Amino acid sequence: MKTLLSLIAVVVSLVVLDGCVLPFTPPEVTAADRFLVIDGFLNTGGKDSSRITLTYTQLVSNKNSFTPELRAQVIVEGDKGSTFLFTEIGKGLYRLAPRTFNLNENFRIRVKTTGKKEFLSDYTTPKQTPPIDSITYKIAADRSSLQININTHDPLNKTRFYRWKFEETWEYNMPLYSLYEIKNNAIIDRVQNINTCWRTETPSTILLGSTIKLTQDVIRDAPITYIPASSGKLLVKYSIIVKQFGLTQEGYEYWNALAKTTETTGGLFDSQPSQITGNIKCTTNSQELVFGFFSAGVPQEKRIFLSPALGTPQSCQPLDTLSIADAIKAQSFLLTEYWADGARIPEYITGDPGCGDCRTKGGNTTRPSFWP
Amino acid sequence: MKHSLLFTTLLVTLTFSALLAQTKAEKRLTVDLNEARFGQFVKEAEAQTGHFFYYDASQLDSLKITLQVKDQTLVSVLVQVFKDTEFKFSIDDQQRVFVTSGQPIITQLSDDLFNLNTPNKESEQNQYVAPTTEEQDKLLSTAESKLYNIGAQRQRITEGKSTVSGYIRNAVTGEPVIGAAVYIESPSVGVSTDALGLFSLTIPRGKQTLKIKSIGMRDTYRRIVLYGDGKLDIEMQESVTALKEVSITAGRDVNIAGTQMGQVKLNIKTMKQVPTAFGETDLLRTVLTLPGVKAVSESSVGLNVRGGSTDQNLILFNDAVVYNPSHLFGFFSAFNPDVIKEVELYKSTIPSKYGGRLSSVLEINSRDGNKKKFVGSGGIGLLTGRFAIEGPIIKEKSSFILAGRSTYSNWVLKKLENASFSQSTASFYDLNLHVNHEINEKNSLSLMGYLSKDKFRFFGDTAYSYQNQLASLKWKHTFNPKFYSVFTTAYSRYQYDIGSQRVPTAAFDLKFDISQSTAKADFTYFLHRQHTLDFGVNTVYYKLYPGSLRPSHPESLLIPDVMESEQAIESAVYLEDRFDVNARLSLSGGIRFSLFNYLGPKTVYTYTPGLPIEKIYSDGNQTFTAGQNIKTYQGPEYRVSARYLVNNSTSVKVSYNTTRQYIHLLTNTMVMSPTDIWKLSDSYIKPQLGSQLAAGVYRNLRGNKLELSVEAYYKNIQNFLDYKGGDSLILNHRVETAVISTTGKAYGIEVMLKKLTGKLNGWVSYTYARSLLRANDRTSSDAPNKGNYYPSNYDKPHDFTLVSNYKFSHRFSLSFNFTYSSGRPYTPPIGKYILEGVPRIYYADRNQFRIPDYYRVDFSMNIEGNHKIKKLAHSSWTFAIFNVLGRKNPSSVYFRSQNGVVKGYMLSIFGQPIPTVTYNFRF
Repeated sequence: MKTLLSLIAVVVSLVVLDGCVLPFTPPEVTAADRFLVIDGFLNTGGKDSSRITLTYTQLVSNKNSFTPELRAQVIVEGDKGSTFLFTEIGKGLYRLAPRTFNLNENFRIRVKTTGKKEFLSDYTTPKQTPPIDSITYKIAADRSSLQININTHDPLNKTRFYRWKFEETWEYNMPLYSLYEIKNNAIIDRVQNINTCWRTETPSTILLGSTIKLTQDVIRDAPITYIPASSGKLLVKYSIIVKQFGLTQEGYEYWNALAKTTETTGGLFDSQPSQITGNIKCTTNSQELVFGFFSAGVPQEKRIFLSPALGTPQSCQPLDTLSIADAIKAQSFLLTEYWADGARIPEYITGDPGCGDCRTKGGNTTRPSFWP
Repeated sequence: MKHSLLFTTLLVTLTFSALLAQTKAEKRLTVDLNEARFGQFVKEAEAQTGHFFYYDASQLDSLKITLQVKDQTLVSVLVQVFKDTEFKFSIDDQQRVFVTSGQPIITQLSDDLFNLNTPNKESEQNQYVAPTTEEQDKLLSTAESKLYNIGAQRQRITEGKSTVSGYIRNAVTGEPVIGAAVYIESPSVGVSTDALGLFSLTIPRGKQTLKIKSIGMRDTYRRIVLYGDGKLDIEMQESVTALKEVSITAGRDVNIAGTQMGQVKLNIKTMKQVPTAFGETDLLRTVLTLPGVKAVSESSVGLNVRGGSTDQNLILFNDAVVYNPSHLFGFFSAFNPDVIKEVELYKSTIPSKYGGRLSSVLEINSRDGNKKKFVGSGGIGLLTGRFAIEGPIIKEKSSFILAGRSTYSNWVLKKLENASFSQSTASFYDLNLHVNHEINEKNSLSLMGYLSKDKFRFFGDTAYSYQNQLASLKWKHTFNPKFYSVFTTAYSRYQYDIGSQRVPTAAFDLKFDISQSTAKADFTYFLHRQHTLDFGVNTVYYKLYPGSLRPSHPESLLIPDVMESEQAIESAVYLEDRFDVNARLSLSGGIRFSLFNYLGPKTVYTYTPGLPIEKIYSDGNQTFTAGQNIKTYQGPEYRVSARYLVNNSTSVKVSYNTTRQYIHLLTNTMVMSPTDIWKLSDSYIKPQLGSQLAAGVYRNLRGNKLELSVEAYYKNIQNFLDYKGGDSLILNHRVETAVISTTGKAYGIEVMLKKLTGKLNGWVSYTYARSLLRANDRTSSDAPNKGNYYPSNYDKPHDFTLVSNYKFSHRFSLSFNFTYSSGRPYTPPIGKYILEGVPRIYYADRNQFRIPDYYRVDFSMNIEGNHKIKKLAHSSWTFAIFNVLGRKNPSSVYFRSQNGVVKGYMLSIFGQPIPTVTYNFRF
């Protein structure tokens, strides 16, 4: 429980000291085995393709990318006899083209690896997801933050378990404008506008909601994300797309356990970590671990745009005024020309790239296709 | 003389009576008296035999007669009545009975009077004893120099032993002095006073000097002449400078000579020497410095005794069970230091009278109020303030003590500029009332009430509160000096409440409540010089509301979810005998038989036999009506120990204990949390069973100045509950499916060196201990670590503690403490994988790695005001620095995947030196 942990901070702060959190590097674990990870779901909506990714686990300290499982056989089987074979696209990704499914059928996944191992999931019921009613936001009274919430309901009272994923994108401007750049030791007009960028983030937080204890299947103001004004995301324009998944009870329990183990363990009042694997088992060796939860359904999504103009723009001053030769020599970041009285050639006002180049803040200059 | 007026009248009738004497002398006597006065006996005897008694009533009023005779002659009855007393009797031929002290009245001349060759049989009896004792009595009046005559005085003291018994009390407050040593030096015989301050010492008759010692009291002695069994109450003076005396007391005699093992007694003075983070004396934190006692985290006061879990300690506050002994999540312990007298921890030999928990008994006693005058005391610390008032209700007979404690943390929070803190609240209070009344010498009553409440709310959102309510009533009754009893009734209740109204449609109120009512009768009987019997019965009624979730706002859509209540009765009988075989060998054997009935009304889910208890194998339910027995568990518990005295300063002890526990704390968090729930054993959750074998060597060095003890133990725990990962325990209607039953083992060795006297005192201890668990169903997929043993959360093998106090003067002392322990185990992440583009970690076998070692140095300084007895208020200041080195000791480590990166963090709570000041006063 995060709140309980906070109490410790509160109580400890009373005596003017901090319950401090320090980085901790565990001792090296060297001889971990490699286990298969089956990631993906069967999209039963008929419009989008289904994708399954096969990768292997690796050591926590291993910074290489995850090793994919290539040339495996990925099959989805229905309990009424249908089978679907996925085709390999490459890099461990397997795809099944959009098609219609019998929604009264339960499905399971079977994976055969080149290492002659076979993995099989439990049968899962395809889950319909009701559309998102609305995504709302609320600005804090002191304009220091913004809270985004979601609302949905299922009139049939059948969904009950929900999971949300979101992706946020925001547009931002730099305080100083750069008109010129140095290219091949010459000063030219800047080709690309680097004052405005868009940045996209996909936080990994597992968001879950359930109405199982309510009389109606209604989700009201379930928190999605909290954005402090100081993040700079809310100055110009901000957009969030939320993807909603209806879950089975097993699926909900799996994601809940995964969230508990990978997001909230270790606090004094949090539950202890446990091994969460999923609903897939290795049929050739029952001791072999395999990670992933196979599910079937149709996700729903909704995007909103807001321009709340929250936060304070960065404040910057130009650094210097340099001659052309000096500017080229120093490979300075150029803002504008400066014509001294009676001068024949301009000098250039320079600045800090952190004040004029939006790419230094992690975004890129390409306008997203969905941006209005 | 009572009958002196009649004397002359009767002389007239002498002649007539003489005639009757011949026939009436044959009349026989039947009497049945219990503790009767002599006058009562005379009435009976005169009525039945026609004899007439002459005696001095004032001489005989202290003689109590317990007699049961049938058809016996008066002479033989009188011989029995006056046996072992100084009184003599003679009967003349006119049926007159003369009772005198010392010398009998000669009613006729001896047959042997003229036969000089026959040795005079009576001469021995009529020996003359010099009256020096009485003269000395008159000369000297103080208690110590006075010579007390114990038992009915006689001319000559026959050889043999008699018992002197009585109460030892504090001369100022009238409180009983518990655990005081009463002994004679030659031969060396000693006992200590019991919980009522009562002692009973059997020593050779004759002139003796009783020496009395107790911690915090001035040593004293009483000179006695022991004629026969008798009573002597002793008052002791408190030593004016409390610091002078030593503080931890298992008592000198007890360490070597007692049969108990693993028992430690701490008094409030010792506790005051142990510095704490918030400056306030903390009972549980002091207990945590003892070998064999550990806590998972430094902010927690959940005790893990010898590898046991935190719910396996029977914490008794004046005989009422305490379910949550902490305030503010364990930053403070629930006991107000102003009312505590002492605390006794049993971690190895658990006396038979205690039961219901596996690992230890922690008995906390509050002190009696001052019986002579009104006294107020209190203290002001950084976060808490406390105040106590005590005084007599009826002088010398009854007294009360009323104490309260609270925080001003709310006020501090409001002052903080940080908005999230100023919207938070955190507070607690506790109240204590203790009344005791001495009805007479043989009966006393004490009544205790305790109430505590904690309340906190974060950032104006979820509010938590919990409270403890305790009450107990104790009646101590002494049947006779060899037989006494204590009758107790107690009530304990613990409840918590969590609520939120932030979102009206989801506003909720979650409640948990447990209460228990206890009644018990405990008896002690000094059967024989070598045998002391303890026996008794007790019964506990549990009522538990495992959880209720209710909407707390009209708009709330919440479906109320109320768990069915649980109820049970736990009863036990016990008998224990301490047998002193000889001066060297002492044995103690006890048996306790406990019976647990889990009762309706309740609906119990049933599961297909032969399959694991899982929701998917549920096949229905069974309904039980109110009071219907659902499940019974019963079994014996054995408590055996032996002590062998190798020489006067060395002893060896062995003990074997088994224990049963019918109540479980359900928790899947690292430390005890106020939202943990208690659960009674039911159809699926079996009682926990424990057994412990311990052996130790005890040696006193340097003329008892140093005490060295080495104890080793091996312990077995069955049916201990551990949890399946990720399952919720609260509001779980099928909690049996969320738990796994485990078997635990723990073993260790504890070495402790104590110095009890001198300017420097304290103790050093080292412990090596392991605590391991294993799933009972080793093949289950839920079995952690593939069914192999894994370390428990509180498995910290090495532990070293130094507690020391140095007195520079009577008014100034310094304390220095050092603690080292191995890091707690944690479950490390061993790998990572990617799911939906997000790296996730997975964990290895449970508890295979350890967080960094823990060590901490604390320092405190105590300054007392002057020690003039008469002044307005006595005060003392305590300055302390907790964690002088400022070491950032990790309380826990954890791993989070944040924005795609797995990071490890270490949380340290008291990561800086914390200076505190506390002001204490008493008036």
